[in-house]
Amino acid sequence: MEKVLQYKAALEKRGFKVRVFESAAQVKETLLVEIPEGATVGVGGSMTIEELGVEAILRAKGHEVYWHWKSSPAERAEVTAKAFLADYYLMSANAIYCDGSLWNIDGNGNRVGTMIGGMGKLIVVAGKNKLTEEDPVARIKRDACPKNAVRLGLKTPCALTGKCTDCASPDRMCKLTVELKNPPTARNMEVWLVNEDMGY
Amino acid sequence: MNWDIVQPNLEKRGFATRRFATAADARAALIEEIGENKKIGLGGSMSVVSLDIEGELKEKGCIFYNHSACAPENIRQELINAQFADYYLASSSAVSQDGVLYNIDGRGNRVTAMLWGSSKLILVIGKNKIVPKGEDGFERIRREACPPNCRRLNRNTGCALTGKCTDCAPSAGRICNAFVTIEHPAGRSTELWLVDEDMGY
Repeated sequence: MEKVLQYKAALEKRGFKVRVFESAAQVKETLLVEIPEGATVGVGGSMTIEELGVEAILRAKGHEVYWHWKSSPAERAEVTAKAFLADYYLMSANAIYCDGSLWNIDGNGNRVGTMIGGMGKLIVVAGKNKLTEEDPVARIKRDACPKNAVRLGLKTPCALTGKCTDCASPDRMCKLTVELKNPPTARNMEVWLVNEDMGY
Repeated sequence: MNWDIVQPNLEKRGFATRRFATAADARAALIEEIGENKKIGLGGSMSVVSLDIEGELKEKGCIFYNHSACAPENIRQELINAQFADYYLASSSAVSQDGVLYNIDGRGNRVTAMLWGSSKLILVIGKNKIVPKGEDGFERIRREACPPNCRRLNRNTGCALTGKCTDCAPSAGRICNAFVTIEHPAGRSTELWLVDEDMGY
């Protein structure tokens, strides 16, 4: 827990509100209590949130959940717009740097766009595997991108070899990089750090 | 610094570009492009302000959404309207010679619209935004854009007072929260209008 607490302090110094959890199970429990009846929930493409397993429970409780992974490609614009406007937005972070900044690389832009400008309460759930003292972009391109490329069936060099070549592939997903040094002005958001590995 | 070298690099990255000799040319083209009865989102870009298109387009039935020009209680709806408008107009605070866009934002509504949306995004970019070789895009912004913007917005930041970034606290009215690097266009309609004059900060 020591490492998690160090990163909590660094994030708080930069103005982020942080909660700390021992396990993913605790996060799941807390999230289901936090989200009030009737609230709409948007999800940014996240293996962390997928692994958390809250989606089915939220839907069973009557919440509208807007997650473009779970809809058809034709519906993507509409679903991501609803997620942007939803009462809650759940995602992870690709990396949290030791100086207390949040880092994300995105392809479509809906995840990082909603992270910054979304209208509801943002909860960023990050396992301890996201905490890094090395260059955060290097961490992301080594530990997250290849797995995501494979998961999405993309024909990028990193999907085939595991190594980033800064490719010109039409399937390239690393188009947008966002470093959040502080919470965006007036953004209602929390970072939930978890003392377990979660997602990529 | 000249768009001649940068424009092909932007296109290689998949950005659609248009080139204009003067801001006046870009202005005329923008008026024609937008036409009548359109909804237009604005994100506080001084380059766009300098084009002075609001009066003429309003006469043609266009509506502008700008959260810094509306009543405080309407800000949330204004931001939503801007994000989901027909057009979103901004600039880019820096463009590297190899064609990467750099932007910093405080509230983040401007970069949000640059990153994602269903509107048609037009970024009008003066040649002063081209980053000198060997300098990082964000360095250009901190040196040339943050100080005048902080002064314009009446913030008590280190850079407003001294011209130098002091990585100040949010309580000082910090405007640099989200640092955004765009290497390739996201999956949204984007056009870069490159102008051979200085515009904005």
